[in-house]
Amino acid sequence: MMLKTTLLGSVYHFSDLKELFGKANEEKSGDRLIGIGAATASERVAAKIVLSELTLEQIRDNPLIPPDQDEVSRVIEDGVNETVYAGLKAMTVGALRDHLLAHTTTPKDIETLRSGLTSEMVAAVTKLMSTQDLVYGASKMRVTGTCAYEIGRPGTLSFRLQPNHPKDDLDGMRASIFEGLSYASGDAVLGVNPVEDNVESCSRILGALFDIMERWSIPTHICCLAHVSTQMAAVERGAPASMFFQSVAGTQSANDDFGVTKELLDEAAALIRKKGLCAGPNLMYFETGQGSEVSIGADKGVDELTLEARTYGFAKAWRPFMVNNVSGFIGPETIYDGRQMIRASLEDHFMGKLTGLPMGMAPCYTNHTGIDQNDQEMATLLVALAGANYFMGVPGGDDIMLSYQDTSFHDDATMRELLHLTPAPEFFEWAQNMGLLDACGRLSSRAGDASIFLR
Amino acid sequence: MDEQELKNLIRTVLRAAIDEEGAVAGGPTGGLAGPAADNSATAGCPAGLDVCGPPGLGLADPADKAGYLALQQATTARIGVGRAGPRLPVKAWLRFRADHAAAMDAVFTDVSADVIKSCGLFEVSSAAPDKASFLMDPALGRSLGDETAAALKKHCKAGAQVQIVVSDGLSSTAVENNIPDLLPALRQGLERHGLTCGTPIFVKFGRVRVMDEVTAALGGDVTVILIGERPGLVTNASLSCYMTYKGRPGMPESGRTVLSNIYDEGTPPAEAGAYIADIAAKMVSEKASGLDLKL
Repeated sequence: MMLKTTLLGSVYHFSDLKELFGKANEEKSGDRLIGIGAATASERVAAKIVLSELTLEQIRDNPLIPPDQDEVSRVIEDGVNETVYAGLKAMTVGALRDHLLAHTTTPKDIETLRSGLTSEMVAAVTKLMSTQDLVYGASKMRVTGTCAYEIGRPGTLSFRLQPNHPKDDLDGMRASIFEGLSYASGDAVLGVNPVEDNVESCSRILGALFDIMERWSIPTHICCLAHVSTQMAAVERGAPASMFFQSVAGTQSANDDFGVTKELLDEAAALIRKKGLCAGPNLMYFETGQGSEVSIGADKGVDELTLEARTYGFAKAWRPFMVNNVSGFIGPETIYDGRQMIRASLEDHFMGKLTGLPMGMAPCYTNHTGIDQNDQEMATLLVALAGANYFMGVPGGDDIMLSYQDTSFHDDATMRELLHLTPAPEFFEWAQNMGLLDACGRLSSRAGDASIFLR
Repeated sequence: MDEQELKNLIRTVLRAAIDEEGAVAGGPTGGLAGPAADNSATAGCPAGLDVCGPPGLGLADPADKAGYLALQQATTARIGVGRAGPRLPVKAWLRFRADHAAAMDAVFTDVSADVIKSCGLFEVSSAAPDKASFLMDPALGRSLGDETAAALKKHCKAGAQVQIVVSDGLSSTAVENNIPDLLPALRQGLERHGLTCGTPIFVKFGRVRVMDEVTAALGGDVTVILIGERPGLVTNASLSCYMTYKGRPGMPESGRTVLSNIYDEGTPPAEAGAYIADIAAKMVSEKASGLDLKL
């Protein structure tokens, strides 16, 4: 395979797909850290040009991480529909980009097409997309998830209420939950990241979330974001849970580091189907992030965008209810500034949707990067416009347990109002009955007062 | 305009903005002691600036005011902030910005030369050439480079029982706020235990594992690194202490003994200094650190 092009009189040569994929990315500190980013602006474009001329078959025939060496690669390969792939394989990556964006390509067409793609193809086409390409392209792809009810339908925007507390204090969590509910946040899930990852703590938190859901008859879901094996043990002992959560990554060695295998996730999916609160069929919640593999040295020399696409390809096997990424959370060694975080958020949302995942988003930042609140709000607006299924809802945007900033209840309500979106219908009805939202889904005068839940 | 004038101007503008909001919201509630974690934010604020005081309620007429104030006491999360349309009201917004600014400044400014000098620290740099490289490539902050190691050997006392290293890490503020109180307490404690102490060193742009390179250069039994933690919005001044007995580059992380949350509202620095000296004495007598050392 000849991977070279001449651009303005200079010849650019790439030795293999791994190098080409790395250099075709927009700049990210994680690619720079492992020495695979483009050296110059021209080299970056040269790589995009060469990539645009590759066929999908060439990508599949030259795996970046061979399936015999990696479980993630095997799961992705197993998921390919060979008939659909046969119809697509002669298409170039450039032609795929234009095809996805064309008016004549319908959402239904994309639903069929995606089953013939591997994650590396999804990554490749994303590298040829601009900001508006990523927003427009994703806006054509709606992927919903159904746990107790469906989220992600056109015209809706849902939120995971994230009431974390640095000491796992239940009263503290309740206070944040009441606050969030009063902004009509929480229709995707009431989901707590626990400080202590053990069965007792997980059960205690799930019990408290369940009580709130019952006491106020809230049509929603509950989840404690401990390690999946902890949640499984808690549910085995009778704790209530709507879904199981787990962080996943794009290489087997990174998943090993997270304590995750296909086998474990299969077991988890079977258990929550049997003993969970909801009928589903979508009962898993995955979290991902560009750079998580680089940050633990499990990247295999592959760029962070492609590893993220592979993460989605892996996650798809369990038909999750929710997937969101937290690319801004990983740190400056993988995403350094606002520009990189905004780009990563758009790429991830697009890739997730193209893969067929019900993507939510967590445009976020830690305090040791160059990212600030204005960058975060730009990312939020753009992925909301692109059609993200849900965002996080964090009091005032400040997660006091995980020490980072994410979307606030205020940001969430703003997105709904600006884009004329409403919560999932079941929750919308509840929020209107509680007097929190008007018929258009806008905050009513009563909204934002957590003390209404104190009676 | 000098600095004082600038500060006065900012104060006036902020106060005007808050007064305006106060009028809309029926005035700040006042009188309620805020959660403990708010004190750290207060420390860096000019007196009387409302943005830095207890949060109070940002909404005029809640269904249950007393109940709401009790909810606020249950968490340091930003609840009861009220809203302007769907957006944060100005007081809550500026408070958020102030806390984030303090966190960013903790990361992106350098420890002042005065603090390094007055604490008697011998200053060197890690292999990171600047702050951005330090943040983007963790390996740089973990290594010293040959020249720096040679400088340590030339200028610092080698083979002491306890070697103290101070490093900015991810919070210069943590170093500036805690080291002037912590270091004397630590040195007194070591003296009380009859332990010899090497030349205290400051490593600019350092990560935790740079302590192992100091140990490799100067030998000695116990190495202590006091390093700034990644700041959150609740505190930007928290310091961590990592300790090794006979550390070496490439040693497992389980060999380190860790004490974190050293700041005024966590473990106060003077108290931490005395405690660290006690741990060092135990390490010397038991010849162990990390998981092998029962505290």
